[in-house]
Amino acid sequence: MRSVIALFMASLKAQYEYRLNFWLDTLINGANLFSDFLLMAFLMLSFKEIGGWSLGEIAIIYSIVEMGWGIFRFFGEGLHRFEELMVTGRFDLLLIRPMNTVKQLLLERIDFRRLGVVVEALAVAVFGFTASRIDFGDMWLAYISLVFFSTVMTFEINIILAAIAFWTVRNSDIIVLAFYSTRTAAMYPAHIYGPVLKNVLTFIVPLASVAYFPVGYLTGRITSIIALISPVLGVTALLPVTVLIWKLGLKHYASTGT
Amino acid sequence: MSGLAIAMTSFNRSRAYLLNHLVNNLGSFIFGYIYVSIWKAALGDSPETQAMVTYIMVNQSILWVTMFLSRGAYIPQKIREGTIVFDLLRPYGLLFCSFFEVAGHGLYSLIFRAIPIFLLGYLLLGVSPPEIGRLLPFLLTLFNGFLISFLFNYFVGLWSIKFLSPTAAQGLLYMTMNLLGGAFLPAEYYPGFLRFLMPLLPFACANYYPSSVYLGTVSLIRALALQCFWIVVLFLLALYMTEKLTRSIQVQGG
Amino acid sequence: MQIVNVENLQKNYTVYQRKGLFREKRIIRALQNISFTVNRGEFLGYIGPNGAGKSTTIKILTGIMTPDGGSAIVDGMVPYRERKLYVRNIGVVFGQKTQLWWDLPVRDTYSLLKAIYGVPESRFKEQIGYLSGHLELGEIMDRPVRQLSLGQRMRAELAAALVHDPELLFLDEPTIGLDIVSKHRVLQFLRELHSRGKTIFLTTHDLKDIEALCQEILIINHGSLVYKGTLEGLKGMVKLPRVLKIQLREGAFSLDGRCTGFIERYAARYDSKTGTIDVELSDTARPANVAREFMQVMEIEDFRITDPSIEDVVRVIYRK
Repeated sequence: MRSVIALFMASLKAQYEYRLNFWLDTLINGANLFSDFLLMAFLMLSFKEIGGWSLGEIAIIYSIVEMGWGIFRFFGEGLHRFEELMVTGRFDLLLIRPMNTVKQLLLERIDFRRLGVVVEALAVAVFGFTASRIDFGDMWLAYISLVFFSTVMTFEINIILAAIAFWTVRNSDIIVLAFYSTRTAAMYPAHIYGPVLKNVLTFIVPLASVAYFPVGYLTGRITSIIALISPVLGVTALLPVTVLIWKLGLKHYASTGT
Repeated sequence: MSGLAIAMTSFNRSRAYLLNHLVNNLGSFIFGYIYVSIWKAALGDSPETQAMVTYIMVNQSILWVTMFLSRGAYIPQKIREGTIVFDLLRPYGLLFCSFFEVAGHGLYSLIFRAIPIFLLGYLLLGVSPPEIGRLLPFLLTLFNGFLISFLFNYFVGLWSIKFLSPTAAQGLLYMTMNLLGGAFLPAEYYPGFLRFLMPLLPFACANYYPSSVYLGTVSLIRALALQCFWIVVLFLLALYMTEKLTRSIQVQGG
Repeated sequence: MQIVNVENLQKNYTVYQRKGLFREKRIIRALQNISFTVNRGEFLGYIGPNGAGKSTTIKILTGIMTPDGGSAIVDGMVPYRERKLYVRNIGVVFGQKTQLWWDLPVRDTYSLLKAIYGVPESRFKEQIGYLSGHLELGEIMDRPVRQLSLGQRMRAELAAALVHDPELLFLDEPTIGLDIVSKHRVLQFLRELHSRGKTIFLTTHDLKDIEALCQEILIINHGSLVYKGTLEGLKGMVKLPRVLKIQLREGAFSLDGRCTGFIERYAARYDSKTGTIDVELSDTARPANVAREFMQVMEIEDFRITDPSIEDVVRVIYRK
C-alpha cells in the first residue's frame, strides 16, 4: 500500500509538471471517446430505439463498460503496455524484486490523463439517467457495483491478454481482436448481434455480464434472475482462469526467457 | 526515382508485421460487424438496410487507407528516435519523403488490410460487390481520400516538430475524423445544420465520398470537385508550413 | 565460506527455424554441466564471448530463469524456487536495461524501491546518503531519468540496486558505453563496496575492468566452464611467448635481402610503414642474444620486451 501511495504522488507530480500538455491530453482523451457516443446519439435522433432500447438506457450500459476501461487505464498502463516489457526484456527487472509481478505492473505507471475517460463515462451516465425512465435514486447502488465489476473484469481480461505475450512476445493486435472489439460490442444491447458474438460476450469475454444482462434485468427486459447475478458469476469464473494463465505464463518465461 | 524507392522500403517494412495485421484485421471486421448490427437493429427489414451494410463495411475496409494511416506520417517516431536529422540531410524535402513513405504503407494496407476485411464482409455479411462501372470512380475517390488523410497526418507530424508531442494533435484529428468523416454515419443522418456542413468539410472526403461513390448515392463529379478543392488548399498549406518549420526544427534527445 | 554453489547446471533452448513450409526444431545447449563456487566477500569476474552462456548463468542465479538440470544454491536458497524471499538480499544491475522509472525523478525511484523492499526510514536515509556521496548523485537526484546522460544514468542505476543494501551483487556489464571518467567513478565505487565485504559477481567485456578489480575470474565458452582461478594462474595456463619489439631508425626502413632473410629465420613480423619488428621469444631464447644479433645487421633506434596481455591470453582461450 505504501508503494502505491509513493507511486501515486510521484506520478502526479511528474505528469503535472507539463501542465498544459497534461490538461490538453486529458481533455482530448475524454472528448475522443465521447465522439463515439455522440455519433450514436445522432443516429438515435432518427430512430429512437435500437433493439427496443432507448438512447438513455444504452447510455447506462455504455457508461458502465467505458468507466471500467477508464479506471483500468488509470492504474493498468503497465499491463496495457506489457508488450514493451517483453520486447525489451525489461520484464526481468520485475523478477528481481521481492513483490508479486502483477502488483509491480500496476506500479509501473499511473496515468492521470485517463481521468478524462472516467469523466466522459460519468457524463454519459448522467445523460443516461436523465434521459431514461430509470431513476438514479433507486439505481445508484446497482450502478456503482456494476462499475466495480466492470473494472475488475477489465483487469482480469487484460491480465490474461498480457500473459499471452509470454508466448507470443507481441500482443497488441491480439488485444484489439479479443478486447477492444468485445468491449465496444458490450456497450450496446447484446441481443442485436448474431449468436456467435452474443455467446462470446456471455461466455468467453463475458463483458455483457457486467452491463447488458444486469441492466436488462433491472429495466424489466430480461426476466431470469441469472441476469442480475451474472456480474458476480462472470468475475468469479474469470478469476481462476486469470491466475492460472498468468502463472503458466510466468513458468514458461522462466524456462525459456525471451 | 527516389520516391518509389522510399515507398518500396516502407511497403516491405510494413510487411514484416503481416501476421499481426491479419489478427488485427479480424478485430477490425468485428468492429464493422458491431456497426452493421446496430444499423440492422435500427432499420429493421427496410430496403435501405442492404445499402447501409455495404456502406459500413466499405468504410471499415478503407479505414486503414483513409483514417488509421501512420501516426503523424512517421514524423513523431523519427523525432523520438532522433532520425529526423537524416531526412533533413537528404536532397529532397520532408513533405516529399513523408508522402512516399506513407504511400508505401498505404498500398500495403490496401492489399493486406482493406481487401481482406472487405472479403470477410462480402462472405459473411452479404456486402454488395462493386458495380463494374463504379469501380474506377471509387478507386479514384479512394486515392483522393488517402491524399487528404495523408495531409492531415502530415500536419500532426509538423505539430510534433513544433511541440515535441503528437498526442494532442493526433487525438484531435481522430476525434474530428471520427465525428465528421462519415464512416459510421452518412450525411443524411446528421442533425440540423451539420447535415449541410458535414459534406462540405475536408473530413468527409476521406470516408463519406469514396463509399457514397461506391454505392452511387453521390455523383463522381461532385465528389471529385470537393476532394480536389481541399487537396489543393491543404497541399499549399502543407508546403507553406513545411518551409516555415524545417528552419526551426528541434530534435529531441541526442 | 561459500555463498554461491553451482553444480552441474544445464540449460537448453529450443529454437525453431523456418525451412520453407516447415519449421525445424533445433536445440541449443546454452549451459552444459557448469559447476563452481564463490566465497563470501569475493570479487569475481565472469567473462566469455557473446552467446557463451553468461546471461543464462546470471538469469539462473538471480532467480529469473529455471535450469533444466543441476542445482544452484545461493545464500542458502534456490533462487528460482524461493524467488521473492531470495531477491531481498541481492542487488542486480543489467547495464542494457534500466530499472529506473523513466518519467520520474531519480529520487522518486528510490522512494518506490524503499517501499517495495520495506526499508525502514532511518536506514534508507543513511543508505541514500552513503550512495549519493560515493556516486555523486546530488546534482541528478531531482532530474527525471529520461534527461540523464548515460554515465549519470548508470550511477543512478547502481544506487537503485543498492537501496536495500544487499550482501550479494550481480552486475551485468555495468560499464558498457561509459566514458573514461564515468567508468573510473563506477569502478572506484565497486572497489569501495568490495572493501565493505560485499560479494560481487561482475560480467563485462572489458578485461581492463577485470584486471583492475577482480582476484578471481571465471571464463565460459560454448556453454562450458573453461577456467576458474586467479588472473596470474590464467596467464600460466596459456603459454604465450614474450615479444621483443624492435624499432628501426628513421630512414633505415628499407631492408635488403640479407635483412629480410634474417627476419624470416626468426619468424618475425615486419611492418615497413612504422619500421617495427616483432620477434616472438621462445622459452629457451635469451632476449639479449637475439637483440644483439639484430643490432648487427640493422640500424636500431630502440627495443623493448613485452609480456603477453590478458587480452591476448583470453583471445586464445575464446578461439578454442
